Amino acid sequence: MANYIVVGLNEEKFALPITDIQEIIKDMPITEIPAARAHVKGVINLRGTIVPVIGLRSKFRMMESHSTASSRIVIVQTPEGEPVGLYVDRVEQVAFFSEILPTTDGIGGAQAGNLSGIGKINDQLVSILHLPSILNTGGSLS
Amino acid sequence: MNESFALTYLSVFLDELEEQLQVLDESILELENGGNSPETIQTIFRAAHTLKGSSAAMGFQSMKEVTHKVESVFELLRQNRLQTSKPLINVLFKCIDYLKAKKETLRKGDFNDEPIETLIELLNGIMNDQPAEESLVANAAAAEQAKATSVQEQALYDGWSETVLAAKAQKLTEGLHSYEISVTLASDVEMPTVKAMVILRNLGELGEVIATSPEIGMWEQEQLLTAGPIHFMLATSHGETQIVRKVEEASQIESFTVKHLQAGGGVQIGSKPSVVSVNKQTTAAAAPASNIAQQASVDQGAAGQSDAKVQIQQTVRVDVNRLEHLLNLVGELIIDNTRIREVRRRFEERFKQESETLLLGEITDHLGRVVAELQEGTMKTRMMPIEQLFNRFPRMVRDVAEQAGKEVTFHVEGKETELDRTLIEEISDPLIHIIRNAIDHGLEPPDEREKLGKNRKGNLLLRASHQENAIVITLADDGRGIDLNRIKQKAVQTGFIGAEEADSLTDKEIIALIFHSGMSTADKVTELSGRGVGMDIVRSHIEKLNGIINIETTAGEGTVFTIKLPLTLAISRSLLVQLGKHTIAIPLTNVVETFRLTPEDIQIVNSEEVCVVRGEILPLVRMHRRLGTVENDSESKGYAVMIGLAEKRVCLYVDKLVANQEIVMKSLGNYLGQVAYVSGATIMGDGRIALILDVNAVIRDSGATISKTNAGEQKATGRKVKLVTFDLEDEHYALDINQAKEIIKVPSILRMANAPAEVLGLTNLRGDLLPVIDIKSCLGMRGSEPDQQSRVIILNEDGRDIGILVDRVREVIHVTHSQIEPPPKDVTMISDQYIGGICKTDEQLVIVLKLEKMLRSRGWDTIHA
Repeated sequence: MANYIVVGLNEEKFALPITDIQEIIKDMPITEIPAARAHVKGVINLRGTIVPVIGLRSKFRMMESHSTASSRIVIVQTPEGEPVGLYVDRVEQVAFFSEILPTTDGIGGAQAGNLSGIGKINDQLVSILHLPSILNTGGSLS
Repeated sequence: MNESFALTYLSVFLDELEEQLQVLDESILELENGGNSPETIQTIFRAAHTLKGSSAAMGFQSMKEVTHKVESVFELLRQNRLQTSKPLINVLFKCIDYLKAKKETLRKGDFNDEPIETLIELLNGIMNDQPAEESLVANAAAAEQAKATSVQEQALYDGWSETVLAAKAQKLTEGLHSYEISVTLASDVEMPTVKAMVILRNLGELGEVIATSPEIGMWEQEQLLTAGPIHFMLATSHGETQIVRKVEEASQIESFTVKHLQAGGGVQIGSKPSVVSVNKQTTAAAAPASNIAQQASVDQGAAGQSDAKVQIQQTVRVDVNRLEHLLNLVGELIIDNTRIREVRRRFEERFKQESETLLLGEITDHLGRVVAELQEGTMKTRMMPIEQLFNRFPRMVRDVAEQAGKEVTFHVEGKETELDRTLIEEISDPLIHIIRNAIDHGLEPPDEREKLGKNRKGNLLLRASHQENAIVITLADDGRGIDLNRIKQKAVQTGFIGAEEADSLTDKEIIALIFHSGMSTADKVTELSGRGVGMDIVRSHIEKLNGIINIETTAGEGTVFTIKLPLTLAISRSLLVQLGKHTIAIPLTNVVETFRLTPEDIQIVNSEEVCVVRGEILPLVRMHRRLGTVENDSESKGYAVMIGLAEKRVCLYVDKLVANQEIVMKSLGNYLGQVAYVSGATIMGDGRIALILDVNAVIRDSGATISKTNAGEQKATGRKVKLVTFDLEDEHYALDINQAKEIIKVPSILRMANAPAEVLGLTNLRGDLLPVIDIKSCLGMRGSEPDQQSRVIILNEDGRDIGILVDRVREVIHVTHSQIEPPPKDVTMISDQYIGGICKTDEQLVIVLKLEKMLRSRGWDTIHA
């Protein structure tokens, strides 16, 4: 049984397997990339490495929000081992799910393909993100 | 010689081989050009000799035989018993080609000897033209030599063990005499172990080496071999003379003695002097001492060679990836250094009086210097003199000139210019094309030149030099120049431009037309050029390297090609500019000039903005909208940055010029992949990221092509690809032109036993061996004999060249990505993993092949020579 990091977008909670996560950093200046996909917020300078940042909100067709004190960038790695940042509203807690429900057809909306299951914390549902499908679209338009 | 020994020394041997081959190539060319001096012949003789020795030491019998024969030829040349002639030179080049091919196969780990009878026969044929019998000459020479050697008594080495002496006695009963040979290697000898092995091997040819001292097992310790003489105990039926000759076959021997041993272990006492001692300093190699003048020149040659050896510096081979990693780290350091400077500046503002601020200043200054030197040093590790590329050309020029029936004097300057090794590899193909063009098209035939009052021999100058942080390569010929009218006609004829448009073009624009694929002013297609693909390849290569190409031509006086390339691909000086909210870096190699833009400078032509710079009309490109930003203030005057790539120039409108800075190029990573107009990013001194402008994309998009209609079309349909189309049976196929290196007529193909059925064999392309593949049988079609129209397309795959045989090459077509459709699922004829797509043009369907996969899957690289 793996541990998960729970992040928040709006009121919703999403969980990422802790093993997928390289680090979590505070919001920092993001350089926009023109002509990249809409969900790509830009690139950041992570200690000398250029890391693209995905806005998880726009990825899930939510309105982008302004940066707040609780905004965080969760750095994960692509299957090729490249770092990619996921921009989230907040990071909530480390969680452990005793039971993971399968996603059912019909729910999930924009996130449907990106979930690997649903977990529960104190009766609140948490969508468990499937990282490979979030990252598989790539960031360029061509 | 056991296998492990061969493997240990293989790389050393290959390096030596490479070096000597270079020497041979150069000197034989010199010989051909009339440099028939004793020194040249001596140099060649030496090189062949060294190669013979080392290949014998390595146990490569066929190489030894070939080099031996070459050596014999030069022995005759040296004695004026043979005159240099065209056929002779050609045969010698054939030998070198063989050795080169051999080098490659050895590098691949293939130690098999292939038949060399034809070569040997050719060489024999040349030698037999002479009345004198070679063996006779050699014997006479040896006898003379034995006489010439100084004779003196020397004490015997007494370190032989009882068993050795017993073995010696045993041999004597078998009728074999024992000799003790003591060799002192030259003090500056390289690879003493190998030299000792050479001597051992040479002696082994005469009889049995009973023992050595130091023992063979100790030979790995080189200091043992150089510290004192090496003693060999040889049991043989041959006499001293032969032994002397054998020992002398090895080079870099200081002196040696040969002693005949008696049964009891003492020196034979007799009237005949039996101890022969030879001092190498006075009698060089196997030179007959018949002619004093000749002898002197021999010594000179020997001295020259040892000088050359001394110059070779110690080297360490390092994995390129490690260097790359170091370079990246230095890049980080440069960024941090810039940041520290920034911090220092702020400190100085706030705590001007503090002594610590002063200290910080000193430290940052020092750090800055160290970092700068570190950067330079690290960069230098990747740098190589362009010499290794340029050295290949004299031979090529000779071959091409011969084929084209031209006479050429080829000058090379600036061989020592250094540039990034990856660039050296990349620039090779374009240079080959330009040089071939210059010889084939640029220079007039000798007779025509004479009529024009020029020297029969055309001059071709290849020069490399540094210019700030770029490297400039120029190729100048004194031929007929580019005929602008002819290009215009041809362009109108082939429909690149309209007739009126042609009249309105400036000279520069007309010259730029030659980069158009399908353009060739040659009336007929020769084996060398004329298909109009060449310059297109030149351009695409140079574009890939972010280089600039410029052509200047004067009718009747010649043409100058100038290629400007960045010194290295990783770190470059860039111009930082402000475009709306973005800070964008433009590599300085692509920046031609910058100037302030006033409204008067901007004019409208054909509803597009252009600016006039010293009479040249250039499109003005505004990138703001495409980069998702707006111009800072449209009222204020901005700047124009003239950027160039290959032969094209456009002006880019920018809001502000920010700085000129050293930047470390970083990729945006695979996740973002190719982003339009951005080729990468860099981290600036303040930690922010600046995007690097993809000059290529901007210029391509700006429609800086000559034809306006063409440009419009391009914008509408997206990215363009160029395909070279060809026929297989009756179907049309195509390949991306970037994959094709060149197209040649079907050369002679050497069939190979036990190669896969699709492999037709090997062919020799300017000295490189490459496999030729019957693409038809790969695709399940029946192979056919090549005919008049058949061509071989040379592809470059992972740095290796491969030729594919096609029935007919048609043309180069421009299509957009949208015109290429994925292959339908039910294509039955060809395994669809080889098909990249189907391209629909107006009049035909063309199958676009995906060769890289096919080439890789078949594992042909293993047979690649």
